Amino acid sequence: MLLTHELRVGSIFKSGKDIVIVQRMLGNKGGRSGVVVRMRVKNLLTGSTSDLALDSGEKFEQVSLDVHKMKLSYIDGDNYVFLDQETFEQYELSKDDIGDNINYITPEDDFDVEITFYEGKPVGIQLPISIERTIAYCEPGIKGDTSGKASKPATLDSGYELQVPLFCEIGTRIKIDTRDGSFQERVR
Amino acid sequence: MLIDILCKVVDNFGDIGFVYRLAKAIYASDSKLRLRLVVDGLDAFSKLEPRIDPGQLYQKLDKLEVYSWNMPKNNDSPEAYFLDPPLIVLECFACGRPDWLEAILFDDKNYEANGQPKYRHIINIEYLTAESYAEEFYLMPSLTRSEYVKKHFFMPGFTDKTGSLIAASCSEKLKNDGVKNPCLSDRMELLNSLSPGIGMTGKEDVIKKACNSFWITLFTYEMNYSPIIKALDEFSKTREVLVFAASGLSQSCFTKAWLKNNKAFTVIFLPFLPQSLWDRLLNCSDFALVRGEDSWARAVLAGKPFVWQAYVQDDNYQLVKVKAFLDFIKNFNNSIKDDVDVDAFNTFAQLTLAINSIDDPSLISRQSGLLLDFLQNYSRWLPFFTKLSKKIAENGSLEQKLLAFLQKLAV
Repeated sequence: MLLTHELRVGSIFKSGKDIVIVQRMLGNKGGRSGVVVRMRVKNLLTGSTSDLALDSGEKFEQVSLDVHKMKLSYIDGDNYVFLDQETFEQYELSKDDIGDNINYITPEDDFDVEITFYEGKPVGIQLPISIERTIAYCEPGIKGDTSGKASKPATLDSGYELQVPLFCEIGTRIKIDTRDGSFQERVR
Repeated sequence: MLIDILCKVVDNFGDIGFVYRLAKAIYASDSKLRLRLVVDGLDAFSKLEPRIDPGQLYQKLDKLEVYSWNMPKNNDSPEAYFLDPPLIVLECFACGRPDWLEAILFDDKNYEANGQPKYRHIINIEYLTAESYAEEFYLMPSLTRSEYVKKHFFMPGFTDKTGSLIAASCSEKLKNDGVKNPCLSDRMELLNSLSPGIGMTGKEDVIKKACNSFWITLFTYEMNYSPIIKALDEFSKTREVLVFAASGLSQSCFTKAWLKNNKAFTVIFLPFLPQSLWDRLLNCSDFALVRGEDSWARAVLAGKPFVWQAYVQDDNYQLVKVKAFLDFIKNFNNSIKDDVDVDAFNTFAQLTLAINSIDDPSLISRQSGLLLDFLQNYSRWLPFFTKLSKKIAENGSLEQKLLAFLQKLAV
């Protein structure tokens, strides 16, 4: 069973007869009784998408689908083309199907991503919870400030913007939590 | 319509207080409904409602059917739940569901009619907040693992795009009269109702004098009361002050500081009050310092100046909630004629932040001066809070919005 706090972009689970994939995490709110998350899901049976809220109390049956390791080959407008490393076949996924995970991948990456297939078609990608990327731009770092309490905006080499601690510099390699897109730590 | 309301008591009386108030308000809106209440903290409930026996697994409270969350064996469901399986479940504050109820709710066989299972609905009623997500999440659909069990979010709130506040008797009063200053007879009546517990029985002259004082009700979490006492001491030099110290942990904090300050003003130490008396006290008070969520909502509807102390959460998240409420108040202030000026508003905002600050000594040290400043400018604030309460009452009541939504689901 999958609990709400285990869901992330790319998670696939059953709700009744429907099979849904999480496309975007739209924010979460902490309350006394736990976190409430808002997310966009796509119904793989009907193709429809919907925004919904989930509290921490629900549990869902996880669906195991075929997964193939691939590399992002190139981006063609709103379509992302992946290359299967074993068969060398190409598969296209739309920006919407990839959801928030587009923030963490570029064609220059040398790591594989997991592409999920449903009825022979690619339906989403799954990334590790933690991923490393390089800061392409941020204001100069402040030496000595390692508390991490104050933050500044930074743009990653994938184009994604996030808040990082003041000590970060252009070229700093950092770990990002792909569940919510937040800075985790500097890679030493 | 059969409605099941679920409540888990996290701590204190806020959760069960809200749930019991909700049940009464739903009945007041539609007396033909059948309500079942499943509570995991019958001890706390019995303090709020002395007719509750914490040792009983099932009991009736007027028309309300009350069940214990904790059955001897968790799979032993009360028979009534097999006869009438739940169709609408109000899950208050994402409290979850007892295993025995879960087993019934998610078993389609319990709901089959003409070979087709009936739909069941869960409504998660969330905590009150002024944060913008209250509007975003209001009536937002959710998912469960069953296609026949639908779930939605219901957000209480302060705007017309949220589920509003439980109004119950308040709404009638506001609809009919608007908020008005408590008259002496209201106060006299209240003191007479309270008098067996506060030692005023037969003391007509004391009661009369008390009625003409400036009434301040204090109900907070545990805190250092010295700065508050200092401000009230100073304020009491200009007018007669009567403080009502609510029962609970804050009463002992207050008492300690009050004794240290040589009992500078008159205090009534309250016993635990039923909701009806508590609401009347807030309506009759000139100023209140309230905590949590149920009393916060009551203070808003009472239409008197108040300061809200939020429940402390991890990472000081309560400050996000407090700032959201201050933003809401500020926007309301900007929207009305005869608004409160910027300086006065800043005092109120700083005072609220100071009361909610647990680790900022510079803010805590300013509590006294800010509170005194606020009270000295009381006449500016009274019309503001009166208008605020009226505006919020115009949004409609939580119970009416909830029932209207449930009717739609039932169709």
